Amino acid sequence: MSPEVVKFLVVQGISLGGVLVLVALAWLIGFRKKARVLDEWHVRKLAEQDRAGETGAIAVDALGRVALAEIGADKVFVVKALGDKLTTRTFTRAAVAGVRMYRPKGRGIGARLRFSDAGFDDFTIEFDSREAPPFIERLRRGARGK
Amino acid sequence: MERNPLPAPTTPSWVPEDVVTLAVPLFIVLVIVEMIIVRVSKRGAYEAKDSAASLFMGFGSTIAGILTGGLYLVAAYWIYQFRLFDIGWTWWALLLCFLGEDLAYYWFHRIAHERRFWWASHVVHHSSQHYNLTTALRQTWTGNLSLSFATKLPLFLIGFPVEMVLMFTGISLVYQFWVHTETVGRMGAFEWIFNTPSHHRVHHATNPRYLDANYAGVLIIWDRLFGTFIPEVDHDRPRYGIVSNLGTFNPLRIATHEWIGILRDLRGAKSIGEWFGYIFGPPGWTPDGSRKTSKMLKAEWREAQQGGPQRGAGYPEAAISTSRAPHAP
Repeated sequence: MSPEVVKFLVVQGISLGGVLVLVALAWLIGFRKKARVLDEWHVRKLAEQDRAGETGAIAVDALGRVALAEIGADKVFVVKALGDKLTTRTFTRAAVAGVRMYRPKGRGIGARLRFSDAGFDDFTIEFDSREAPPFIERLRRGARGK
Repeated sequence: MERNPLPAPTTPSWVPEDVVTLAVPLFIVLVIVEMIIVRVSKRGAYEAKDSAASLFMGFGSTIAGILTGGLYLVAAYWIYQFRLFDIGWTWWALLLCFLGEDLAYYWFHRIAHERRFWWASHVVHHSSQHYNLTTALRQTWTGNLSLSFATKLPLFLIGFPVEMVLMFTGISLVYQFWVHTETVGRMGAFEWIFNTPSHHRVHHATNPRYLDANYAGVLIIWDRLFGTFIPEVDHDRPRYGIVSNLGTFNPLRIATHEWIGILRDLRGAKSIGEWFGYIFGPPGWTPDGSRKTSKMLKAEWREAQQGGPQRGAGYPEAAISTSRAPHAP
């Protein structure tokens, strides 16, 4: 191996080691709080703050990890916990690329949602009730066939 | 254009090969110091996953820089052969080169915010909702591919040696590291001339008041000169991130989401004008105005200031802010 390659590997190794040390340190000293969505009122206020529009039906995850709100007939407001922050976005219904229902252990029903936005991970929303809110079912029907 | 027949001046031995690599140990130490200050003083914020994403983006950008940096070097040395003047390593050349590089950075940075093609790379750096020293390291992987070095090329045509410009680019990057912090307040007279944490907090903020401002690298004078300077005000604390915040910590998604967004928009474009608008228009541009550009958001905010209801008015900010979200136990 040439000295340049060795030097490159050493520098990258040290950098990667530094990354791992810093992340471990951040975790160890307690920077690992998780944000959560409180309730429908909370979602409404976040939508208001974002000027997302008038909220209709709202669905909040049983663990507060995520929430969805209908905005008129063609938009959906999403609140998603991302570490210690809540990320809020307003998508058109056309951006809902998939909704798959499932039965989670210890809960009533869950839905896995996929959005056609590369900057937004798929996520799950779970409910204690046996049936999903009608709003989720409408999203599922709208996304079917995509 | 004619080639300059004279050989390039010899680079002095004191010029470091790579200023940024030399500064990596300093970066690590300062991040640790900032974490401790944040933990003790509660001034500023960290989140382990967010920091992991930022640091991994930084690590990836060094690899991407090695793989794609050749583009910049080829362009730089090619233009340098047509240089108009033979500039050596004199004190006045160093001073002029520093100013020229910083001005070129200002324009690159401004274009990177105002035109989507370059924003698609630069958005990575703004995609964290946190503002700390690890945010400084959240860097693009596609900068060289989008020719983000283009504003530096006139410096080589003038005749500044490639190594001199690269040295000041490195110094500028190292300087910009420390301004990514909430632990340093205002800095008095220093803020008249230099970019500072306060100025740069404004740059990273998504509050309408602060959008499209403070593009400075080292010297804030360029913003003052070209009308893009906005001071931080106490009654409007910066909210960090981007107007459409990401819902992911996945580095690959962080690096590519805006490029994918451009491709998706182009698929639906109906004319050459729409193609052009989606690529080179301001971020948020759409033919029907269904998404909002910074200018539109700022105009709405100004209108609201002049009489309409303010964003977030009428209920306690602390209760609803995404930056001060309630936490799970």
